[in-house]
Amino acid sequence: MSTEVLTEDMKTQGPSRHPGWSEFVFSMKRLFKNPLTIIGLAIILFFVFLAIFAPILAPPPRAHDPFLMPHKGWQIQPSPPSAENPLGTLPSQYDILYGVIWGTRNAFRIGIAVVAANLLVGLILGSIAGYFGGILDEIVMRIADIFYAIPILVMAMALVVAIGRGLSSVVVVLIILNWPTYTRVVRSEILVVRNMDYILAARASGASHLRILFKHVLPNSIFSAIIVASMNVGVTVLIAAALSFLGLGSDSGYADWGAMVATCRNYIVGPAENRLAYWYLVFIPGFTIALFVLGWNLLGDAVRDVFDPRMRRR
Amino acid sequence: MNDVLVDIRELVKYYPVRGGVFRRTVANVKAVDGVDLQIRKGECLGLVGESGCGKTTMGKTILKLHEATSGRIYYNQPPDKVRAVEQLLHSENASERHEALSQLPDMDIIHMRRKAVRRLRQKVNIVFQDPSNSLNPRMLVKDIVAEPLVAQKLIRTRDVEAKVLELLNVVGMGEGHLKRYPHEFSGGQRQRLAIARALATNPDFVLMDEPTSALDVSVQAQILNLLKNLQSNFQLTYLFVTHHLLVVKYMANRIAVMYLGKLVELSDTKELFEKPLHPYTKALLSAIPVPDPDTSRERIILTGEVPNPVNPPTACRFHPRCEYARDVCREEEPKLEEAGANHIVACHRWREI
Amino acid sequence: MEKLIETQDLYTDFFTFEGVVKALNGVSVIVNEGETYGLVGESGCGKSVTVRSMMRIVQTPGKIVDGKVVIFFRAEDRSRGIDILRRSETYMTSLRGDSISMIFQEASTSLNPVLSIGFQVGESFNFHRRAQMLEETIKDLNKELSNRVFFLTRGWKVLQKAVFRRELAVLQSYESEIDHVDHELYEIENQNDKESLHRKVLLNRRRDRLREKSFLVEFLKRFPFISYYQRRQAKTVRRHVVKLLRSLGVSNPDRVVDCHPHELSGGMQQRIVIAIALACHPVLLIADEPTSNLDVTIQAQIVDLIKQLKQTIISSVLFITHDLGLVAEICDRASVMYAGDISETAEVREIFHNPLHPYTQGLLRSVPKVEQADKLNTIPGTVPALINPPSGCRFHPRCPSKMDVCPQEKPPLIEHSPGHWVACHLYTDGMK
Repeated sequence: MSTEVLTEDMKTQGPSRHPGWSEFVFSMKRLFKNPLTIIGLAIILFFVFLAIFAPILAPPPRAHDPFLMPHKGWQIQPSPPSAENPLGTLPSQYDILYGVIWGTRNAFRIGIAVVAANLLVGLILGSIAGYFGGILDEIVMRIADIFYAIPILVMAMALVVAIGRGLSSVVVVLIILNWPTYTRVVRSEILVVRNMDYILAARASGASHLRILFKHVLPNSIFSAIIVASMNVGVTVLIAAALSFLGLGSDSGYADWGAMVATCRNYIVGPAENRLAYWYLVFIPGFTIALFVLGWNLLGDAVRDVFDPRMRRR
Repeated sequence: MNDVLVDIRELVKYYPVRGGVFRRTVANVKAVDGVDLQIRKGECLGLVGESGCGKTTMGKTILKLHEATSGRIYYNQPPDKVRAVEQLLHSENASERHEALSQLPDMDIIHMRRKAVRRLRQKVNIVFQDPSNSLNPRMLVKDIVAEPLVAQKLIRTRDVEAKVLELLNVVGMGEGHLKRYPHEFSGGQRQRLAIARALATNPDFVLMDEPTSALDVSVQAQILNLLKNLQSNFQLTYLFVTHHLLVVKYMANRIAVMYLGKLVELSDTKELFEKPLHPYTKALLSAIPVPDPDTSRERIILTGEVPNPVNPPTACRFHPRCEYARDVCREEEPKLEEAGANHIVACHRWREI
Repeated sequence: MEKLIETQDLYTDFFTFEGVVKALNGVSVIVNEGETYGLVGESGCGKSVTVRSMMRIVQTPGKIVDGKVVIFFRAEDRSRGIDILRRSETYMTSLRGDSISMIFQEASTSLNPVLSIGFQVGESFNFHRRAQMLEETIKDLNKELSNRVFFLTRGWKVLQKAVFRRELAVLQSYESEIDHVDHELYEIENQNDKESLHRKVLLNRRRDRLREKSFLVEFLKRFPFISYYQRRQAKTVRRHVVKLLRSLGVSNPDRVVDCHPHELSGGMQQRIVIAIALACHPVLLIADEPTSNLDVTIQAQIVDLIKQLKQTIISSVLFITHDLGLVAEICDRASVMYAGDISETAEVREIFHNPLHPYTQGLLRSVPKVEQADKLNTIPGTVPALINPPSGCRFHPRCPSKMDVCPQEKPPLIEHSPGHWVACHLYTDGMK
């Protein structure tokens, strides 16, 4: 992007492309100079590939619900990796490889659903609190404070009693857990943007509050929220896995990484002669989760580098 | 006899200072504390003063960007009507006052209702000080300049580009600048864009809030010349708020001097510079650095700092720093008096000094 | 007039993401003893970068890539001067605040909001005049001890005195060693053979490594309760600070010393910043637009203060501004800069009455004056971005007197008449 100042003789010649596009291209180029970004993107793309091609890579035995893991046998003790089960099996002989591949879809679902819902709630409530201020601000912020104070496990258990087990309750718990953060972030950005001269100029030009909010305030204040969101996808999946491990997620036999580790509770440490006998039970799903979270964190870092107002050349 | 476009009466703007557990109003920042001012059609009225004097606040209150605490600002009303309403307002009779109040929403910016305010916004606009802040960094120039028209639905989408091009040409910019973002321009060019935006709805009155203070000297000259041209071409009325006295001398027909929320002197430009009457004006004029190494001047160096507008000094607000202060200055607040043709000053001792 | 500090063909570049910004394009400035020198120019012309290069505090990604900055502070260096660009960082640290001080535009950001004024002003004393402060403290302690004192207090004071004396001894031995090293560096300054270069590197390294601190004293300074002995020193420093503030026209210095910066007004804050800069009586004060954010009346006060101080404490002032009025008022000589080049250097009277460079002429015509008869003249165009500056003379795209040679060659800075230098092809062949 040129930093030259436009001179009078460039009056007649507009830019060849829409400037928004050139800005985008410039940001992308800058992004890819960083090797970590490329690694993060590669990891995420790998998982996307797994998610999209799951039916081909691991054909589901039961067509109606591919998330039920196949198991050939009912032997409780898990078997180590072999030709038949390349990554081994969980207790009751559920195939780990299948679980890992189909679990990717669930991971994406959880991560994106939670973060998207949080963003939406945060934008709406944060705008109300930040832009209109006054008593609305107080109300929203105090409610957020109350939610901050509720311990996650208590909330999770209460919700499980109310809604029942399963991934949807995990998603609901996570949305409730995190919405105050997004609200706060959006609100603080709006508090800064609200006092800028261009907002006053828009008011002086006769713009209505709604127009100002949508056309002027929000486009300038969502960036912090997006940064938080991109960093949060990984953490969300992690917490979801933890909740599943504690028994609040899906039932055993469901292809979800956290649920997979949950079923192995009794087998984490092997018998006295061979403590690491069942290493694959914890390591493989755990490694998958870690890799997924790492990918999102690296990507989130890259997003922040591009969008951070201090580093933007504005 | 020039018509009065903006007639300001007893304008007061206080900002409450909240403190204590329950956020009660503990004190008030008295930004503007009772100002009467008339801005005539077609003139450029300069408003000068230092930080804390209330000039910016007053300007923004005229634009209804701040809600005034009390007072009236009549916009484009015939003077006899204004006189009548004012008389009613100050009468002893409660019903007369009530009647006057009912007439205000049609005449007075402060009491105007929403629909009338929207129409008002087509007639008045503002150019801000810092061009890097006054343009939305995420909007294209085209949208920024067309904002006043689009926000009030005064133009069809297909006509926008042509109209914006017209405005850009008026301020000396061109077609190539339409689809660009503000950060690609220099400060002076951005200020031109801000001016183009202010002129979009063909206003009669434009508030200039220190339009060149953030610009370099050579660019400032360009912008000042542009503003002068625009004023004569479009019959605009300017309220030129600034702290730079030489700039306001170049631009303004009349100059009003404010100190700590009050008007202290108002006169024609030439007269103010040749015969300043208020001690503060004198100090202000003598403090300007003059770009001529040969001038030897009597410099009046004021002692002390500009006081806090929360607790302004009693009686004459300038008396703690004034070298001519006497007892009367400490006890009684000076009223604005006529001191010559078109020259008013608020000082007890202006005749002797 | 004796030269005080001089830059010779200074080139400073900023290595940014978008390219190399050639901020300074061979800047030569000479400031003489006892004069106020003005550096004038618009934003982006490089005046701040010049003085930051002089003090070697250019922000990354900037680097000084060529040129010399020579100081002539001590009588012994009169003939040759010391090129401070080739000295070590500890040498510069000892110069800054002591011989050269700088004040910046925003007083409120120059002061640390969580530290008291007394602490911040005292930092200069504590760092540069530590030996003197220690001696005074020891003397005071001796006086107190000679009177009758309660035995516990006596013990405490004796302890304090002992620690201070140890610190002083270490400091004095460090200072004498540094003097030796500096002296030797000065001797072999201009010798460039391999052996001398090697010796210089060794000496610089040694200078950086010399410890002015004794381990025991440093340990005691950090030990939980014993470290309170420091307070005795703070009292001495506070005395000096109060004296300094009073001399700068601050009323109630005893109260101000304990205040924090946000409790003071803008003009007062700027005075404190000046106090910090002047604490150790520097030879040169560099002021980077110190009054741009202040009201006109406060600006007049500060300018008046600087004029007064020039009579007493400071020797020379290097004043950066974009306000030609200020230049006319305070400065004796001035340089006009444009886009990283010096366009014109002369006595202030000459610049205003006989401007030679077209940029200076344009600038003077575009400033509103008291007797402004007609419209302001403007200089067409805008300041160029310095990533791809115009070739040759950087002003040629906007110059009304442009000739064919201007885009090709950069005009040298020549002395057109005694004391009046200009860099313009109109004058390079002795033409008028």
